[in-house]
Amino acid sequence: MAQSETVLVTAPAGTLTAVRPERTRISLRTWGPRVAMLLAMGAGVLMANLLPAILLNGGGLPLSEVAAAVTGEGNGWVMTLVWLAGLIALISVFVFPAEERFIQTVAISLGSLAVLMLPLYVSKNLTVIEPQATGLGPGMVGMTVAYLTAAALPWFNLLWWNRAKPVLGTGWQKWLFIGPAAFWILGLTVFPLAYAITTSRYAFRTGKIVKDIGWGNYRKLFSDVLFDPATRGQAIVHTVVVGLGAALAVLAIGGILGLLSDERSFVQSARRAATWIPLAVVPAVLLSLSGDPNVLPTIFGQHLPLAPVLDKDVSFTLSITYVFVAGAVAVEMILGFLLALLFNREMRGRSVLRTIITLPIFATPVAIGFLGRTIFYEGGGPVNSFIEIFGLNPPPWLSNPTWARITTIITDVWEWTPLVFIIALAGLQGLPQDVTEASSVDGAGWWATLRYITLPLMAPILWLILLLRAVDAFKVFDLVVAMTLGGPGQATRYYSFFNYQTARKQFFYGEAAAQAFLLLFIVLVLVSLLWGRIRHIYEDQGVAA
Amino acid sequence: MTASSARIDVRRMLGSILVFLVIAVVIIWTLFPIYWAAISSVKSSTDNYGNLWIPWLHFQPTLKPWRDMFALPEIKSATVISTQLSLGAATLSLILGTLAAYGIARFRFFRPQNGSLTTWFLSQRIAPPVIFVAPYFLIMRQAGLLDNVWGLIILNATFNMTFPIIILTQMFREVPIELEEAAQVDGASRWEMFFRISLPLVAPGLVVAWMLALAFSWNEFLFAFSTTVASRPLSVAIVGAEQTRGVDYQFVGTRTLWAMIVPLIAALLAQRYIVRGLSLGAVKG
Repeated sequence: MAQSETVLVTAPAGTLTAVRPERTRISLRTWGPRVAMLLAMGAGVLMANLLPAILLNGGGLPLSEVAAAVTGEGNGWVMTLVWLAGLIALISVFVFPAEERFIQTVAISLGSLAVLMLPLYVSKNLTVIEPQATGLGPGMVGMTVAYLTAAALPWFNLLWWNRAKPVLGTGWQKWLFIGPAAFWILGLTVFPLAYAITTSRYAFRTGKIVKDIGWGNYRKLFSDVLFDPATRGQAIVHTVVVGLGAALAVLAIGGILGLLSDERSFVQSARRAATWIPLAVVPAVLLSLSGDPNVLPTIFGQHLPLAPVLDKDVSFTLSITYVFVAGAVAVEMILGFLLALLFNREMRGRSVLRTIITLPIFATPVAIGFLGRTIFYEGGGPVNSFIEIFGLNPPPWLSNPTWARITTIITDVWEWTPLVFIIALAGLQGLPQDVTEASSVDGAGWWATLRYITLPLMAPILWLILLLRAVDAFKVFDLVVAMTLGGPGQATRYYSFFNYQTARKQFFYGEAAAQAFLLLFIVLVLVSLLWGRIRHIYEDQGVAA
Repeated sequence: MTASSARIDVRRMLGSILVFLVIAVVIIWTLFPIYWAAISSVKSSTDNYGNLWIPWLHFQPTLKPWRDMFALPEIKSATVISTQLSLGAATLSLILGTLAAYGIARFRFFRPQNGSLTTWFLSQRIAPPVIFVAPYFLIMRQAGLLDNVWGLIILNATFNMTFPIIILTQMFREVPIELEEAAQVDGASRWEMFFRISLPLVAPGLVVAWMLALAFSWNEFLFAFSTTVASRPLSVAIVGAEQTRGVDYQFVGTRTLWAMIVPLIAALLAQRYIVRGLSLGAVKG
């Protein structure tokens, strides 16, 4: 009976309760097969690495040389598939509990079989890899045997050794629903990332792999500051000072604000402000390590005290990207939220207005950039014609580096303020009406209601919008390609465009992959920071309630 | 008494005038680029400069720019390719995403748990797509999918799968489980429960998710720009033309409007679950 095996989630909608997997007792019965699978995989890896992979007349070629040759053929996917599939099979041994024995079996056996792509590929292209090869080496043969064993073991376990009723575990059909999408994502985002890791270790020339340069592509991201012991020490000290300074500044500002507004003592307020420390320290440290003081805004005519350890080009590009992200997101958040407050009332035709305001989100970004080029055209474009009616002098929208950045920010604000607006408006409408009404009945003014009722309730949603927008702003690409092509000079060559040019204009795919991982790292740091803040608010409110 | 109520009336009137003004400014600000594209697209090339805002009053509109554009084979083929890729990608992502959404909504996963699975599916919205440019190019070159509409369909289906997953997971959870249990008692299989009971009940969500995926696939630029030469969709075709022609208002107006029209119509139609889709499901609206 197929349907009796399925487990329906009977909890009320939206509240999937977390259920611990049933505890597996540590016994030969449960752990024996897993240990056997690990042994088989370990034996395969060891044999492949220690024994010659290809036999020659006088000896053999080790795996490392074969791997370099296989990748150098322009077939980086073989090595990537092999190590990724091996890793997935290995992780599957540990991750899945007994309930998921169906998917565990499938994952381990498919992963192990995919590892066999390497011996298969080597045996088929033996003479291409090494013209003097006489045969497949014991390393590859041993690896084949070991991984075939590893692929068979989970089936042996499922069907005989740990045979249980139902054989495939409970509700294995759920994997038929999830499977296609999961497999798709594995193949089209996880695999390409693994592929990028593989290619980031090679030097490319005109789009072809030239040689294995280890960490060379990552080395190019950094300046010599990091590799000279003397300057490295200075940079470390400087970074620590910046981090401590940011932390102390948060405590001081929090304490003083607390003293000014509440009856709390300085220490109490500072302690409350301490939860903000990560939100100040991490960006400060990141900025100090990666920012270019000549690009970032000055304070009272002084450059920011930064000690960048990144390559000059990378640091410059990151800095203009930070300026773009900070400028655009700040303006969008403020305008979008104010607009949402304005629309959060009974008014005629609100849904029509909301629809109109939503349109820019869907306008093709590259078309908007292209259009922006004509709208801000300095030789008699519409904005300039309009400004000249009043006898004013229009700014150099696209020909001055600073103004070009401002113009791209204006265009981004046009396109994405509506996103902030509709999410914030939906959030405001989801707030409990009685709370805001009660406060206005109590005679609280508009500002007091906003400050003490609406903002605290909206905080998680606002942080979430900030997260979404900040992450999206780092992706800016279409706009600059259509509007400025990174110019004037390199003034608006934001990171995505810079990274794109490394890959598709200079054909340095390895270096581009390394640059991309730097961007991914920065975005992930940002995401985890903001996500931490959202969770902190939820926990705080949970305690309060 | 009367004096104070009159003062309140004046304040209220001033307030509503202010609100009206702000709304007017916002609407003009929002619609101006689209209006500008529209009037540029019907100007003759002698009407390029100066304050020419209203057709018939400031200048005589003409359809010549549109006729010129549609006469070009590159625009025709780009339109066909854009249509193919957005229809294909939206449908593919809807099929995969709906199945996954049902799985997450209706079953209990032990490890990885449902929450982690959802996060994993949504994490593609977080990763900057440019990190995939180099590996996709190399992989598609080896797979023979470069400069091919199928390559674009596959990539766009991947990155727009978040919309059906977000919208439909929540909608499937809102379908009362009793309906499916009743069918189960009557001997319906898992697939019948999915197809006959739940799927028809989430039909509005299916339509909206499909349209969102369609609009964003249509607008997609980065991957199309980095993998196509001959089979360029509209988003790339309009940029390629710009670099040879400089700033020519009719030219820009017709092309940008033509490139934007499909996603804008999708935006007008798909208002209902838009907030859910765009906020990663965190805010219902």
